[in-house]
Amino acid sequence: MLHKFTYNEIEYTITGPIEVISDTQLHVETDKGIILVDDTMDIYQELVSK
Amino acid sequence: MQIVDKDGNIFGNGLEVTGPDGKPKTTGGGGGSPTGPAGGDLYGTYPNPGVDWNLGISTYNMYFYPLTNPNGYISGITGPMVISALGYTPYDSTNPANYITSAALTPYLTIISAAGTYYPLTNPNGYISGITALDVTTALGYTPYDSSNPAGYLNAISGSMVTSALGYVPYDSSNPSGYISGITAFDITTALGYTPYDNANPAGYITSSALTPYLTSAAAASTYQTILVSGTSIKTVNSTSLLGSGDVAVQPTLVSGTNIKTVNSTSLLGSGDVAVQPTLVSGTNIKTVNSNSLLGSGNIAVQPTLTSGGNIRSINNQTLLTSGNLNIFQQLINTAGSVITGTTANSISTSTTIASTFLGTQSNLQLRVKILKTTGSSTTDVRLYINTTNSLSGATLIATAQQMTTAGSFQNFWRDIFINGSTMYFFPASTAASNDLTNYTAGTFTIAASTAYFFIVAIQHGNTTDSAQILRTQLFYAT
Repeated sequence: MLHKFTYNEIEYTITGPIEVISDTQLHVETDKGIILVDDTMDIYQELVSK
Repeated sequence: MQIVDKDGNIFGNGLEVTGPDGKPKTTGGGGGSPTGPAGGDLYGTYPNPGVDWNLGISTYNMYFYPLTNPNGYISGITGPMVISALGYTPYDSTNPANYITSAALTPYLTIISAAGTYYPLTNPNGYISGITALDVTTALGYTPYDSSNPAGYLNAISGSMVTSALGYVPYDSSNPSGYISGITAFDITTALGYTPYDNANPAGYITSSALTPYLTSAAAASTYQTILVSGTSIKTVNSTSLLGSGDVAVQPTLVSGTNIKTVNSTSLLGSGDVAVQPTLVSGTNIKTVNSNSLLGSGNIAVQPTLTSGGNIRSINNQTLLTSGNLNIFQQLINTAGSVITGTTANSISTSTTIASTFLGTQSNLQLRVKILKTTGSSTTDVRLYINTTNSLSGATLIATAQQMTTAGSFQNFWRDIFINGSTMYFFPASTAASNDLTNYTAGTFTIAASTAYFFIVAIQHGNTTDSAQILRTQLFYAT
């Protein structure tokens, strides 16, 4: 399971569940809060393919 | 009868008692009673001589010891006894060396006082041994004439005595008339009262050196001003010549504050510039009031002095006047959102950037969102995100409103957010609720320093036919 990712030079550590909220959006629980990850972000594909 | 004196000398004859009747007999007698004439201090004849108490040596010291001390032993020694025995007074223990004190010198004379008091033994009467001239003069009180000239006659006359007697110096015998014997150049000059020409320059010509104190015409012209001519070489004052005697009426000397005014207490006299305000030009060196010039006459209508509660309201009885901050909630966001429909994606309805000034420690943020679900019966979720960009990509979920399913339903979506240090505290982000008026385990978010954040309100429907709108989003700030 991928534990870390970086976006806008901020490193996030995944600490909880990943919730699919739409076809192109996820809610990812991290050490910095619940982050909206969409398909414009590189990490999106990695997260949905797991 | 024998008598013993104090020195142990024995005088007289002793008596010897030998007879049976106890009568005395002389020592030279035999064994019987004494017979014959008595001797010594006895008179008459034995056997019944009498005692002659008046015989004996009259100088004898006779002691008669009392019966209590028949031997005359002394019972003590007194000072007088010691002094008597010694024949003089011995030194006592306090001054065994018998030093004398200064008081003992009182009856003595010093050598000086003795010499001033007594004549020496060589001239006990203090006779004088001679008389000097000084003694005589002193005794007389004046200097007497001597025997060779007892009347004190003069025996010679000196020139000075004659001169003194005359009161002037007389002519002497060689020139009793006081004729002069010669004439000097000085005598001539003195007699003339001036120095006459001498024979070397009988005409009295002057030499060039005599011209030294004189100026040439050229030198005089360059040294002295030519004679002034009023109106020609010297100006006039108010057409009045400055030449001649008398006074020319001119303005008296100015005395600051006396005959000439001052400017702001600064004298107008002297050199230099007196700083005065330049001529005012409205809008240039003097401001206007509401585009009205302050120059000129008349009144400019200005706002009267504000009086809290009088001509300016107060807020919750707090005056708006005075300095400092009035700590009330400030509205940072007050906007309507766009209608979201035709999509099931989480979509931005409204977003507003908030400056970092309002995201510092002790900031209170009150979010007030008015949501209206207009169409559809599927789910409608409204969420609040924050992000450093105006995008949902990478945004952090801050709050979730209560899910709405009924068309026409309305919801007040409230959240109170507090920032302590750099940590933002809020109701759990993913817990759907209209308000946060309950106890909860807070969600947190770390605010980056000096960074502005977008507050984003997003709407997501469960069906594309659903429709909802953010009627009003408001965010209030206070510390």
